[in-house]
Amino acid sequence: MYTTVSTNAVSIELDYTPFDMVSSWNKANLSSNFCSSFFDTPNEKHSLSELINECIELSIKFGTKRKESCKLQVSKQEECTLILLDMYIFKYPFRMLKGLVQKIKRLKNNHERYTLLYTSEFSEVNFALYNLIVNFKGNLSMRHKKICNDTQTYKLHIAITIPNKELNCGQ
Amino acid sequence: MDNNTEIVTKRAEYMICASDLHKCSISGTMRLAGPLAYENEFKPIFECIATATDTVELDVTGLTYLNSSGITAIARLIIHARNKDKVLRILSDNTVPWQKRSLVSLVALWEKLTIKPVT
Repeated sequence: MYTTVSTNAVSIELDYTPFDMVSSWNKANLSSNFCSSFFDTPNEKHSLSELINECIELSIKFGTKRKESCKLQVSKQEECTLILLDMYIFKYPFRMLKGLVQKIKRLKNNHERYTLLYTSEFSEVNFALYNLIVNFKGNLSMRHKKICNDTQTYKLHIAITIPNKELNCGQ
Repeated sequence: MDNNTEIVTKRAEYMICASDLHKCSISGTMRLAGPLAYENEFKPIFECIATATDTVELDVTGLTYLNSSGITAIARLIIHARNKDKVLRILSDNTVPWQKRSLVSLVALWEKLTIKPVT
C-alpha cells in the first residue's frame, strides 16, 4: 500500500488479489478501515471505509483472474474524492455491470427501485451500486480494454467521483 | 422460539441479541460475504419477529458498519415482518453515516415500520 499525505490532499493506493480477500474475508474490512484512517473527519473516515469496502467487494464478486492484482486508488481533492478501481472481468459480468449502472441511473419510480434493491437476485450488488450513484451522488464511469491472447476477459477501469460534501453526510 | 436457535450471537466483530421477547439488537461491525451469511446470523431475529405478539424493536444504534449485503438482509427482515403482519420499530443513530443515509429509504417497504433515531 502507498500513501501520500500533504496538507491539502490525501492519496491512498491499495494493491490486492481477490484470492487473498476471499480466503480471509475480514481483510476487506480491515483494509477499508486502515485506508480510510488517513482521511480527515470522522464522517469522512466512516464514509470512505464504506466506499472502499464496497469497491473491494465489487472487485471480488465481479472480478476474474483471482490471483492477479487489483488496484484501488483513493485521492481526496479540493471539492471531490476520486476513487479508481482497476480489475479484470469476464465479458458477460461486464455487460451485466454496465447494464445495471444504466438501469440505476434511469430508475423511474419507487416500485422499480424497491424491486431492484430489495427483491431481485444479487440485490446486494444492486444496492452497493445504488448507494454509490444515488446516495453518495457519485459519478461512475467505466473503461474497458481487451487483453492479448484472452478473448473472454477485459481489463476494467472504474472511476468514481464523490463530492466531499456527501462524504460528510451533506454537512 | 426454536430451542436450537441461539439468542445471543457473539463474534469478534459483532454481537446479535434476541433474548427479549420483543427486543433485538445488533452491534459492532458486520461486513459478511453475502445475504446468505446474514440470513444465518439473523435467524434469532427472524424468529423473534415471527413469534412476537407486540411491536418488535430492533436496536441498531451500536452497529457502526454494515455493508450492502447487510442492508439487503435488514430489508429482508422488514419484508418478513410485513409478511407476518408484525409492527416493527428500528432504533437508529443518525450520527452513524450509513444509518442516516440508508435506513430512511427502508420505511417504504412496510407501512407498520418506523425508524426512530435516538440521537
